Amino acid sequence: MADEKQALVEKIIKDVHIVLSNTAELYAFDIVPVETNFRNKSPVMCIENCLGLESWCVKQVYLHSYTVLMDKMCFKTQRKSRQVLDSETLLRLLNVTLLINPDLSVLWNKRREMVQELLLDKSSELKFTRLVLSRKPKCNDAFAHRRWILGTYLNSHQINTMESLINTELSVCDLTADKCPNNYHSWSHRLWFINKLRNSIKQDDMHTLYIKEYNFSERWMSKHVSDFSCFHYRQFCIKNTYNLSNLSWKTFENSLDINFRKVLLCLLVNNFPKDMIIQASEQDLVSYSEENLIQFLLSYNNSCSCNVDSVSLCRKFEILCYELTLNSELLRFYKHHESMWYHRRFILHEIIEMMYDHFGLFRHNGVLVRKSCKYCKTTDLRQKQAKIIRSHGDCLYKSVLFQVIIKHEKSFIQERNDDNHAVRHEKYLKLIQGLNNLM
Amino acid sequence: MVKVYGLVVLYKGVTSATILKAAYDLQSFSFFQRSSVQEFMTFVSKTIVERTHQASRQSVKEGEYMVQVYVRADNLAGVLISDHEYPNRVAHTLITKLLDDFSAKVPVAIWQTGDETTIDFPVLPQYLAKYQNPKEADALTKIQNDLDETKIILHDTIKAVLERGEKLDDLVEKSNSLSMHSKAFYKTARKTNSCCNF
Repeated sequence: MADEKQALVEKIIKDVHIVLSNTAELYAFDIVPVETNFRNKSPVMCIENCLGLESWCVKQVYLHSYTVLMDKMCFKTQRKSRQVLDSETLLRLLNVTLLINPDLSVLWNKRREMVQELLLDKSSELKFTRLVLSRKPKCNDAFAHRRWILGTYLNSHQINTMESLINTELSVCDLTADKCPNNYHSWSHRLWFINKLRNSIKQDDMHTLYIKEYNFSERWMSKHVSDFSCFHYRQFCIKNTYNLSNLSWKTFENSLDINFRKVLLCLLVNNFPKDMIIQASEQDLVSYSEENLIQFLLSYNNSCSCNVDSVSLCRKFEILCYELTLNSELLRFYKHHESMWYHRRFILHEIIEMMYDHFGLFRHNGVLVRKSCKYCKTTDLRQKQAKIIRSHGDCLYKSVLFQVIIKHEKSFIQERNDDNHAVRHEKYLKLIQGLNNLM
Repeated sequence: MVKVYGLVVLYKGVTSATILKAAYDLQSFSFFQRSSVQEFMTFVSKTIVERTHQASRQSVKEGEYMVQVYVRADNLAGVLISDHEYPNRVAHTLITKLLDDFSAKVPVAIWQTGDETTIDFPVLPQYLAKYQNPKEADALTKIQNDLDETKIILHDTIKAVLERGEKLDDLVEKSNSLSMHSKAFYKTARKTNSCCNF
């Protein structure tokens, strides 16, 4: 009886192996719930490039392959292996065991050894991990294995099919993120991959990729409103767009069907503080150059005469203001989702930090203090006179942009006051961002 | 995730409900589960419609899914199966619109006797695709911004919808419309509590 069972299990393992090696385009694996073997048929199914294993045999197959692996492969050193498995059998067992239970780091390490000994092909490893992820989209070991393979790939600079590599990798991330909401591993893998590519492809291509990812994350974000992993990736994409070259910026603006400048101006015009006499109308503002606009928004005489890069500063504000309006829209439509409020915190934090940076301020013991100019290192003498510390903050608080942002947030919180998160958002701005007396 | 998995139009008869037309989006399920998932959506739609009164709306939460149902006074019923993030109000507006369109195209006379093969209403899959983006869909139906006075009744679990003494497990076991395969699938899902598969 025992022999019969073992023969059956080995037959199943062999069948799985045949499917794995014969079907090149396998894209999914799953265990199919079938309680008993009432058809006396092989439990291995392969339909439309999907591999299925009937559930009744899983226990036996797993037990068998796991014990054989653990016993005979001298994972446990004290047990001197009497019989060394040949690489073919080893691979079969590894495949089956990892498909059923992919959270076994030991076995993944064995695979790595085999890759190094050239017993396993790197591209087939990528296919195999993809198959594993199709069933367990949150399996970190599989992602780590992919990272290891990709790392050796990218370092060797020997691939001429970079584009298809990028596409496959991103599609694996799409797939896993879609299968399982809040899939941290998938998004951090995507982030790692983009960062890794920086050293491997040309800067222009990298910028094109940044733009593509920015647009992708916007689409994804508007459909997965409570997935903070994806919001975090979005923040990464936003930061990447800060450093686009002039040429890429043009392509970037064209790739979106919105006008960044218009969004920024619209936000400004609708939120000008009442007590302020503003001469500029929207029409006037359109004609402003970046330099004039920054001067208008953050007018301030620096104590040193360093030049500010108004163009890039202006772009950053445009991106962030667009993100703010996008976030407001989403919050109006999908109510009571915490992660969108957290994303809003990020946006405001970025805007405020940028203003601090512009005015050369930093927060010290809850008070805004001026630091030395980061370009020419002039230290403001007044810094040492504690009495006028307040005045440093004032130049920020008086600037048009700051007042506009505060007013915008106030009215938004008011509008959404039935949402508990809005109250918490107000608290965050007051207590964490230190705007207590200003809101 | 904001996603619609299925749209079903049914007729609520005296004893049971019949499916008039259905469309499903099963891409996000694993290949081997798709047929079972579809059977279950049909099964759940029927079960819930049978337990919803005429001229009322219900939103039923079950696991990670949300079943939105509206039965009109003339016994025509619409079911939209989505996830939690799909806004309830939008879902109900869409069902109303769908049923209006359906009754405009398909004559009342055949509702009672018709089934999926005899009824000609080929646009349902298009609706399903369009409704995937609730924002766009909402813009299309802006006119109906305030839903008619019928209140949406919210239920936290399907148990609340079932009549006293009924159990979902028993209903599944007794059902003729579910295959052996789907019943096995249901049992495994129950056992492993499929919503957390980490």
